[in-house]
Amino acid sequence: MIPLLRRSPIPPGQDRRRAAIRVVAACLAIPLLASVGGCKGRRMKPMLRPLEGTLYIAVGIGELAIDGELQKEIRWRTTMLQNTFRTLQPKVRLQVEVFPEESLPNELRLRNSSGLSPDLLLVNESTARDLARAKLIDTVSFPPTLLDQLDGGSVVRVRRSDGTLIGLPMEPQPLVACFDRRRVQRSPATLSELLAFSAKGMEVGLSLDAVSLAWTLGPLGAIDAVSDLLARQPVTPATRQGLANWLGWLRQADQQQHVTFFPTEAELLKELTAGTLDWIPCRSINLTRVRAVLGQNMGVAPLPSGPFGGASPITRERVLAFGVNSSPVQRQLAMALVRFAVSPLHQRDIVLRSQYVLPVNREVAPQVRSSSVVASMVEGRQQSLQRSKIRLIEGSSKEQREAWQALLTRFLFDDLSQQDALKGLIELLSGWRSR
Amino acid sequence: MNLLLMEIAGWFGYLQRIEVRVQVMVLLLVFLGQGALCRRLAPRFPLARRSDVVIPLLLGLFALVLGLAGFPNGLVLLGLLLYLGWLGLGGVRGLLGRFIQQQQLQLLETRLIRPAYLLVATLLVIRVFANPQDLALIPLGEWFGSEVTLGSFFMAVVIVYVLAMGTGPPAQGLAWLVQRGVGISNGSRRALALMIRYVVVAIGIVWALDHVGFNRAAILAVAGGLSVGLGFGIKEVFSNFVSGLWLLCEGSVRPGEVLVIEGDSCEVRSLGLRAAVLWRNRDNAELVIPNQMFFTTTTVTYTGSDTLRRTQVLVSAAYHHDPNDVIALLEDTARSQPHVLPTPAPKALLLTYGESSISYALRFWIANPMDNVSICSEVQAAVWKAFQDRGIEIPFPQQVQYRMEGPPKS
Repeated sequence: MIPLLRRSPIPPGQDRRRAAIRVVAACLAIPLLASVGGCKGRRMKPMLRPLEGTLYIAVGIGELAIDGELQKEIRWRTTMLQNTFRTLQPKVRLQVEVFPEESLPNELRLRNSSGLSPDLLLVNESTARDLARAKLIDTVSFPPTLLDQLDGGSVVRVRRSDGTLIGLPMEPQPLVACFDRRRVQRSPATLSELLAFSAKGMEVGLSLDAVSLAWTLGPLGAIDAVSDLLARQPVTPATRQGLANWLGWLRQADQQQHVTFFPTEAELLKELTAGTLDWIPCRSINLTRVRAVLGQNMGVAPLPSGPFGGASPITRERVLAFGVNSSPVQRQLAMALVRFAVSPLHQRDIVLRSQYVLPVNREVAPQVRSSSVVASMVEGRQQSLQRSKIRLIEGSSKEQREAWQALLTRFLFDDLSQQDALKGLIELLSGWRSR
Repeated sequence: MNLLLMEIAGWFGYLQRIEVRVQVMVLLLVFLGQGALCRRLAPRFPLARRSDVVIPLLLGLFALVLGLAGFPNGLVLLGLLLYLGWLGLGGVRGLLGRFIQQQQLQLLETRLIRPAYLLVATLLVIRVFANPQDLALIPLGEWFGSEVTLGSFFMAVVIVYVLAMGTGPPAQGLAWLVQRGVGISNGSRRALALMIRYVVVAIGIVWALDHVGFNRAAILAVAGGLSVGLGFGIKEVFSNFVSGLWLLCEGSVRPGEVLVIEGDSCEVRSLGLRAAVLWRNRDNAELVIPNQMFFTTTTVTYTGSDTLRRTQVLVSAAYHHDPNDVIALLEDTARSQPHVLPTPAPKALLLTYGESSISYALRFWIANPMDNVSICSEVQAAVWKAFQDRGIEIPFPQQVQYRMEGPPKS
């Protein structure tokens, strides 16, 4: 007689545990299988089939601390881009994350090693260059027909020696003067006027950050000195004289009762919106924040010139760079989005709607006549194009910029004589290396 | 809130990438399939029975293979790291066990260490998918007239939880310092520690509400409205809470006090928001008694002004023994017992002349009221021995029955 085969009894609780494991496995496997299988019910030609998926965009921010206002602003801009882009690709979703630009290399190392890098990064050109050098982003190529539409200088700056691009320039952000119209009737046109206005009570705020303060180098005759030092040229008496003029003016400004130096531009903005300051140099991207507080009282003008020429501000170029882990569909979507972002349609839209950036597409002409804000931004951009070597300052490391700030702070607090400050500055700029 | 849900839902979009899918599948395979694998391998390799060995090995192996193949393996490594961390908690438990009592360690582990680890693990996982700093700014909605962000809400909850669960040892330390400085009793020290905890948690809650940015006027208005409803709805809870606070201040029911509940000595273990927990020595039972009960009924305590207790044993001796000798022997016997206090001196008394014996009471003092029964037992045993040595009889009750003859039959 053949004995009946019986299953060994299951210990109490084990069947329940197995059932729970099955449920968990099912819950995790369903999205996986769905993503593997995809929705392939409708068969369409690849050309006609709309792209579908989530596109991850990392937005790098420079000086400003991440706060609710900034996040809202960035999300609003992304939503605007998404809404218009959906007219082309209706099944796309953009997911935005905000990171301080300085933390991006470490962040990307972590993400790339997990396969979770963002598909696109909106960062400063200098940051994109560093990331490309560290192979943390993918370099790309675009057809010449597209690049020809864009500002030539901007394209040159993102092009590598092998002809590929570290990204596509999207929005230049010039430096302009922002002021409170309730306190200041018109912005000073020259540096002497700036000091004269401050002597009459206008509260002036200046940032000690190298990039934010570079605009004063041109009017004071120090731009060539700094450019030469950055280009590793030998130190000449003219170099010394140029820097001495500049340091002399900084000391003179600091001795004014109504001129205050702050470490970063973020603090200038805070003080202007709080009503403590009346006049500051500010990045055009921050105009929306200032306008949100000052409203119609916000005044925007080009930065003052000086005895040695016009202001020498550094225009920040924002670049759309590409992450390394995108799936083929995500890469296709990212390329499509980038092309859309620099298209005349979108460029015109962002300039007209927000007036905080200039178009990179040459086919879009900024409305200089109808808007003094846009006119000031265009002027600021022109000023920065005239002295391109000064842009090397933007590529400095955090330590170098901190050393710059520390040196100037000690000088302004009389902890360093002008001679010592001059010597220190020459040493610092001579050893200035791009990140 | 919608934004947060959209954000989390958006993370599933990473599954579009083959690298991410492979890593998730590896993790699922290892964590869900290791049981079956262990059962198959166990007969050949006894070490395979241990999941704490198999899981790290498998994860490490897969991470290595992915790395060598040029595939991202960060998620698998993160899984390995988190699993090893979880195993490491066992080591932390062993280490802390050397310094902390088992019961306190259990509480510390379940209420603070493991939740803290899970929190850190969750943040680490989130950190891979999104920037927590950015995520923290997502608004959850407008509560009490102010916009509450995920970060401020989360931080407030964590801080209140940590204060509620983790302030025990620091509060006890502070109370101990006060005891050393001022010389308060042990009961007062425990009460002080509890009150410090209540104060710190209360301040924490106020701070948390302020940190989140709630409108204080709105909170007060809502609290006013709620208090009426709560007063009717859960008045017993409030009554017990207020009673607990009052008892702490009054000092009659504090942790460490010894109370008599239904004839048994019980030690107060803790005085909570709702109820006090008392330990009964007789059967090692814990009694959970609502605070209100102590507030409304008579409480007998042996630790009000001091911890001494006078107790007694009853004993009988035969009529033919001189009561003075018996009394002297009883007192000597009590004095010889190690747990009987020498002062106040033990006292024996002749209580009554019974039917078959003379009843005596031996009264003596002990230091710990909770040891009453055991010390009484020791004393009674010693009395029996002393009586036997001195030939003193403990008589049984005796009854003499006379049989009466009935009337003569006529």
